[in-house]
Amino acid sequence: MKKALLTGRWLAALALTLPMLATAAPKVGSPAPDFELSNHKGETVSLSDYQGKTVVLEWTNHQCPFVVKHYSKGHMQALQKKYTDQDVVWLSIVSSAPGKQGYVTMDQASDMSEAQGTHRTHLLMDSDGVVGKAYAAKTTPHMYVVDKEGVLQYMGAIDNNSSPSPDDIKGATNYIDVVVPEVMAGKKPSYTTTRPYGCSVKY
Amino acid sequence: MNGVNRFLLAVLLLLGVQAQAYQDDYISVSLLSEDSALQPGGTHWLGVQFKPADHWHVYWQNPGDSGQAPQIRWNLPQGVTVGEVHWPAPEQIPVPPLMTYGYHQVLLMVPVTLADDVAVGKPLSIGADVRWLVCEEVCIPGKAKLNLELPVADSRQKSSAVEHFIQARKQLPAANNLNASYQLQGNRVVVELFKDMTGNRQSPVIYPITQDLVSYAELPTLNQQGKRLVADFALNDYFSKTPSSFDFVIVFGPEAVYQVKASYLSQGE
Repeated sequence: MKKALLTGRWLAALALTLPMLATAAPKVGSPAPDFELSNHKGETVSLSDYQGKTVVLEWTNHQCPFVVKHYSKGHMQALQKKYTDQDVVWLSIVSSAPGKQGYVTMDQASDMSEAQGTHRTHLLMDSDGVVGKAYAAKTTPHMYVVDKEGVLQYMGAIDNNSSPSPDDIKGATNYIDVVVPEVMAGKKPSYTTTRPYGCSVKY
Repeated sequence: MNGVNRFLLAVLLLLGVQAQAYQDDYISVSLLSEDSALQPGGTHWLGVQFKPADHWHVYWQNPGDSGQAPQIRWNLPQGVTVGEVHWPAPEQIPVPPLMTYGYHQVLLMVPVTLADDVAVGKPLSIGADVRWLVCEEVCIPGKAKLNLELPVADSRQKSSAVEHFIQARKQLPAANNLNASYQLQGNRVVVELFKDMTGNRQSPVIYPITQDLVSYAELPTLNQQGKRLVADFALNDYFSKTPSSFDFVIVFGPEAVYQVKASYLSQGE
């Protein structure tokens, strides 16, 4: 099994996206780079498995204070539940390298997901950072929304308040909560790119 | 800080007693005044000093690809006003493949002005609610309520903290008449700065203040073209609208630090 096979979902997409991978983030309005990663049970998951569904990608590091902000009082879990209940696919990706903050083995990943009480579809391991770099994931959290056709519709922050305090979630605009329903309905989202905030991804 | 001190500090904070300094294992943060007394009608300087532990850092006004700038909220008595933070030039703190900007130690200075009718004799209590993010590679958010009691007098005298202010001032961008513009050329941001660099041995370093315009991790290529210095940047991944100016700090060397506003020049102009 290739751990992070980067192939286009379509040939045309392949031709368009591959030359850009090394230098730039994917572009909103263009096909989201496909990937293949292992989940915490060792099963292979690819983005292209979910063609026909809206997909949320969430870069995460459970020890980063900005991630803790969104998990410690159940906000991220509630958001995951709200949308996975509506057939949205939620893929949380850990790009921390072995030995760095947020890195988890498969066993630790199961325990962590249980402890967090998550409602994500999969927690995916990207310890060599290949997928994180293909998406130019900079921070945790860092969010992406892919539509049913596999086109990237949003990349950026989880919300518009970059404070690390959970007390500042209330009153903030959660971009995922705005963008996902719009993308599910086939509309152009109100937000397409926002500056992500948080800890650096620990490549 | 040992456990007993930390316990005492925690007790003091619980009691609502405000301190002039805060310390934990990662950073010490102090509220300082350049002058030991303030004068009615006078402008003085206050500063919040951040001293992270070895190898740890705090961030500049633009933290770069990750991180967060410190925030200061002032609690001021009547007749006292403060201005904006004067940010010293930062350092590049790379976290490959990302770039961040920050300090391994810094004094963030603000001007403080007293109204003419502030009474002499009665001390003023100046409070600062400070929040910061201190990082090595991992990050710890922190906050403290700092407080400083300062007498009001007819004359001014330097405090014991004056040396910190003198040092910090050397890193502040100096007044200048540098003329600059920028253009968008496809996926590039091209800045022209009217400055003759021939003869300079070191390349300048540019710190973008304007966010979401240029890439931080991919450093610009710099070329001297006649009397113009041309800096060619990659576009930021989060670019969405063209700002009317690209503000940046450019450091040509120690004590040659300038803040520049490059106005937007649409193509064809």
